[in-house]
Amino acid sequence: MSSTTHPHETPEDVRRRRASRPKAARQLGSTALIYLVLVGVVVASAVLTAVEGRNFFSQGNIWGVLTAMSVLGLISIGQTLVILVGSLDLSVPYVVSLATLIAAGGMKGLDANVPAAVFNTLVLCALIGLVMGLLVSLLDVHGFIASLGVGLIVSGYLATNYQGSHGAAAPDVRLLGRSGIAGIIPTAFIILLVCTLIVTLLLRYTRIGHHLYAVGGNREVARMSGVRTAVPVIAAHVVCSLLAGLAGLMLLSRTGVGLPTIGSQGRYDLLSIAAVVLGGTLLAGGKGSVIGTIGGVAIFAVIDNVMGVMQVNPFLKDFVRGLVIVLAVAVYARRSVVSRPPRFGPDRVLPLPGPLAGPASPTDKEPA
Amino acid sequence: MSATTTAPDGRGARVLPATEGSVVQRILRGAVTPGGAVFLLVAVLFIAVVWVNPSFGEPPQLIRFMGRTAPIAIAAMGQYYVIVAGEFDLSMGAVVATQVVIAGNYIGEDESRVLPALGLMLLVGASVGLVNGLATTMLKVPSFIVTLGTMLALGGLVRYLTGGAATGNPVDSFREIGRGGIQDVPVLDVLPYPVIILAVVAAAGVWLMRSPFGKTLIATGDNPDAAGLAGAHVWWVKTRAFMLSSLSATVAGILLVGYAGVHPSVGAGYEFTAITAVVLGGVVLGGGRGWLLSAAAGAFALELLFSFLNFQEIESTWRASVQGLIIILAVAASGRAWSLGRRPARTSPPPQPSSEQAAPAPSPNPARPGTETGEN
Amino acid sequence: MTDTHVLVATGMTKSFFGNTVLADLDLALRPGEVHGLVGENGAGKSTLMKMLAGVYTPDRGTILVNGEQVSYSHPVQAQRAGVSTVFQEFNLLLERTIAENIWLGREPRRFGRFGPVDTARMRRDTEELLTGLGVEGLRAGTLVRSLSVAEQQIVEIAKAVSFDAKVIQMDEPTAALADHEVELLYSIIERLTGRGVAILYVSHRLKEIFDLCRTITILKDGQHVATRPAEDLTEGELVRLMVGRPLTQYFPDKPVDVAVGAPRLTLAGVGNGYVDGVSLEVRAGEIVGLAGLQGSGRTELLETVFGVHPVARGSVSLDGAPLEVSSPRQGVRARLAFITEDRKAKGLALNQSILDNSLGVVRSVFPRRTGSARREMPGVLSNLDVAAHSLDQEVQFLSGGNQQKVVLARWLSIDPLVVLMDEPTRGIDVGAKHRVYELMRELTRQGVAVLMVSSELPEVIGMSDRILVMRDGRLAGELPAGSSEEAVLAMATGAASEGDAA
Repeated sequence: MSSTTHPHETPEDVRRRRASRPKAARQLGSTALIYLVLVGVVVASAVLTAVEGRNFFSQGNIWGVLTAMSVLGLISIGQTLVILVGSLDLSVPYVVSLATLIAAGGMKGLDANVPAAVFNTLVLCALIGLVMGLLVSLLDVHGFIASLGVGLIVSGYLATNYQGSHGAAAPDVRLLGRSGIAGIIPTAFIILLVCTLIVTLLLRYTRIGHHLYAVGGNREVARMSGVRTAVPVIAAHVVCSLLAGLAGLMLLSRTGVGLPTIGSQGRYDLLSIAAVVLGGTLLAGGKGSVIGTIGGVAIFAVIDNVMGVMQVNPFLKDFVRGLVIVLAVAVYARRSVVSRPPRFGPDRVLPLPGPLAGPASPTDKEPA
Repeated sequence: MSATTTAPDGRGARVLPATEGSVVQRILRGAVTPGGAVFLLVAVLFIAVVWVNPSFGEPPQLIRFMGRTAPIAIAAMGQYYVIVAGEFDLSMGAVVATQVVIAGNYIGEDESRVLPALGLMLLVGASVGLVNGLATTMLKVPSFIVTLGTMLALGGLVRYLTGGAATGNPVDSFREIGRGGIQDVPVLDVLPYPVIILAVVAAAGVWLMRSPFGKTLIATGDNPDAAGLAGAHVWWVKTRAFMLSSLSATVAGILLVGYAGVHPSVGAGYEFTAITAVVLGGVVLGGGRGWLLSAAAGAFALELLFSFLNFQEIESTWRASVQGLIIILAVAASGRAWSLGRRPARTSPPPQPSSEQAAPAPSPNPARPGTETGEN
Repeated sequence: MTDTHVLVATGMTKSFFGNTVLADLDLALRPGEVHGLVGENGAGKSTLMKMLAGVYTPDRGTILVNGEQVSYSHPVQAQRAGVSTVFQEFNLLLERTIAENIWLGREPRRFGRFGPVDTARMRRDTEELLTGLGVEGLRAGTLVRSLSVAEQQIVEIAKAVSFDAKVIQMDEPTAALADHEVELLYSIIERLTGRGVAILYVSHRLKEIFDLCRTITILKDGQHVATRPAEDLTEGELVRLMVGRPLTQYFPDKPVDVAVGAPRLTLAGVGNGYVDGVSLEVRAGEIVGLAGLQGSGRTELLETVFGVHPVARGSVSLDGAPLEVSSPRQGVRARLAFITEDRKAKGLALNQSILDNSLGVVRSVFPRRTGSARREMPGVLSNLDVAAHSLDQEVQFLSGGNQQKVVLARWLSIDPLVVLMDEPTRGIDVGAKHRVYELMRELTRQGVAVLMVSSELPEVIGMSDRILVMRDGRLAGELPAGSSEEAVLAMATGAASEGDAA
């Protein structure tokens, strides 16, 4: 977002501001924070797990956590891109389910069918993403609505045409779902890391990546600088749906069959948004990182794992998740408000929050 | 307003009429708006359904259809309050499920518990709305996130308390509310209670929207800044809208117990159906425009459409797709119509870049109005 | 003439909604020269700048850059033609680094068209630009959000320079800078002119105009008044050129039967983040005009009184009793009315009807009075001469003047004791203006205290019983009714006082 003119600052204020400036490059603030929180969560989980008489760091447990991270992680990477550009994707659960069904149906249990099945699945997902991207960029429909609508459309198709499991994964694919390094690091997790790396590099070293941040940060400023604002939006949605498709393939490698409800059961829409927000990406766009998102995914996976060990009722998990999401957004929303230095004096008085203070700062006018 | 009593001479200004034109003209004008067009849509769809299935038009059938549609129409009206205020309530389905489960678990076979149960349900409904409203206005979290979170939390809580399974139906007298009706009515055979309840809720809603609160609600959705400066407590106005929405979901839940039975998945997706109905009723996402009864009409139009598709042998599993399509088309269309009228030509002042971290409240935003003359 | 000038604009004309904002303007800039552009609010400076910047398309007129005609419809084209602009509202992405902001849309690539973005080169080029401006201590990788206003401005200037600008326009560049930062800006400008860049410097601060500019162009009411070498002018003469105009405006005579009563609204040393040490009083039946330049804090003062901003220092009293207002709702309850500057953004709900808008305040704060307010409203509206088809009509379809009348009706309905008005006649037609002025007089007859912010000097002078002038968030002084425009503007800009002021 562009700043507006700020009032006078004394040399003291300038010095103070310079001193508080983050020393290293950007993002270290929120990304470092989230990984710090992750460390804390891991420590707490290790303790709680030990209380239950188990070892958090056992081979099997680590494998479980990393596996749980992989699918949500892929989806969350895509969600990060979409949110960064100022949009949203609520259709991911249905795209994931669709991907498992199309791929399983295409493979029919034969290795020879794999390339074609995978190709078809990914192309279909990309097309779905394209539709959403066009709706958002050309028709000016907000991502929330566009993805909600597309998700509903897909869900209707799924409900009509698939009543239960469908198709069969090829043996090679199933093998992939079970393979890993030293029984600790699943292949799926490695795929996640590779995707994280690729997307991070794309964001940093391509024009589209830069423009994605720009369009999400302030569309007008981007437009004034000659950026074609539709391109990053469409690209983000296409990549997001592709990654959802990839996540579906990953799920298929584990379940062995296509399942029409696997996406919605996993609540991947809400969880991916939560991971993105926890990872420090602004819901309004323009600021954030994929690495932070992975940290958020890790936190969720660890919390899930420990709740499982402690045999917490799975339904209570949803309750906790719902709470976490709202609080995460609330906390980050506060952090992201640009505080304008006042024109006068060190005794700056910020507007009182709360019921008595009148309208929730819609009229905060900057001195201009 | 004493300033008006000093009318300088020569002021022969006419007093403005309350409305322009005759009743017929007004109706015609209203029919052209999206909010009015939905009533025409209902008529058209009704004719289509009757054409395909003539017995649908028989009064007993028709009134039963209205009874079946009552819950969603009530939910749509509840969603209207929130949407016209510029927000979203995605927790409706979870509230319905919660109420249904309370009915099943708390009442059981105990007749004496019916009234306390109703009281409890209304309390729960109001509380959920309160939480939604406060979290949206005080925590500054976008309402679709808040209500998604509430949906998740409430759903989880309900399933936890019930172990995820249906736990039996409440006593018949309670189920009668949703299932029963006034017997031996001429022409209609039975007048279902839901229809009566719908009529009462609709009438109350119309009265509410004409009251100062209702007018302030729309004004707040239209321009929260101006409403705040006019002295409205924007946060309390919006919170009450959320409470009305959750209470409407509660009433819908009470009715649903009647014929859908008790199951945690009752009401799943209700919020999306309600939003579709509201959007179909010409209410603008983003707030400030639209009529309450149009939202209810949108629900009827939707159900008629589904009935029509049903009679055409299209599986009911396609409902979600139809809803998705309607939502996209309606929003895209109104967005275009909106921005075509409002988008500034390149020769007028460009919109000011917003300097707030604006929550991505989905709305087909009109181009920001600037001052009229180019400044300086 | 075209040989020695880097930019020649001729016949620049622009209208908005039938209002001619700029008429037939000529401007010529020489390379390496700082050319000042002055005029009061509404004179057309910003419109001219935006046309040169490619934000607006001129209705008529030609632009020659280095002898070649250019026409552009997008700011990027203007930049490529060599005309860059540093606006008052920066076009920066807060969450991106300095380098990323400067090179947005033109990120350099390694290995040609399909290579990756060359971030190292971006950093190097950025640092080169900054050192070229003589700026030390700014690193290319710093987030713009953590920069001070002055530093952000430097980024904007660097961006302009990176386009190899031959002309750089600056709109009120020092409005938000502290003194030492202004000096840095001066040195940057010196470097730029040393390289042959022409600077179009738009400012209200006459001291800077005379410090920096070799030539000054004065605009007034969208017309060109004069272009003179700075050394030929004094501040007093400049102010005279900016404002001197025949008083053809009509203002209702001050009613003889109005007895100005006891002080109604009193401010004692009021201050917060926006204003400081403001002490004033408005008596019953009095109209006090609040003049000042854009950014002097007038709107913020009204908002503070009304309860939008808290009062950090000092006190406010109403009719002698202390007034503690911490929200607009409390302001309304205390019978304060606030007519905002931008009626469309903050004064009206555009999709709602005339009637609903006019009852908006009553319904929000005094719902029980809605019935009686509703009965009286048609009379109020017709008394204000609101021209519309019916009360049902949506306010967005009314003309500006009628919209403003609806705003007034809305606030009259609470029977205010004090009316705070911010630019009450901005953007409305002459007939509506007259009606608003008459209304203000009617209000004073009832003992209402009116505090009016206005940038239209004739209006301030014609309507006010007393004129207060604000500058940089403080009260600069008070002037009696009937003061000259020069006197008001001189106090508002802080020009050295001339003997014949007032």
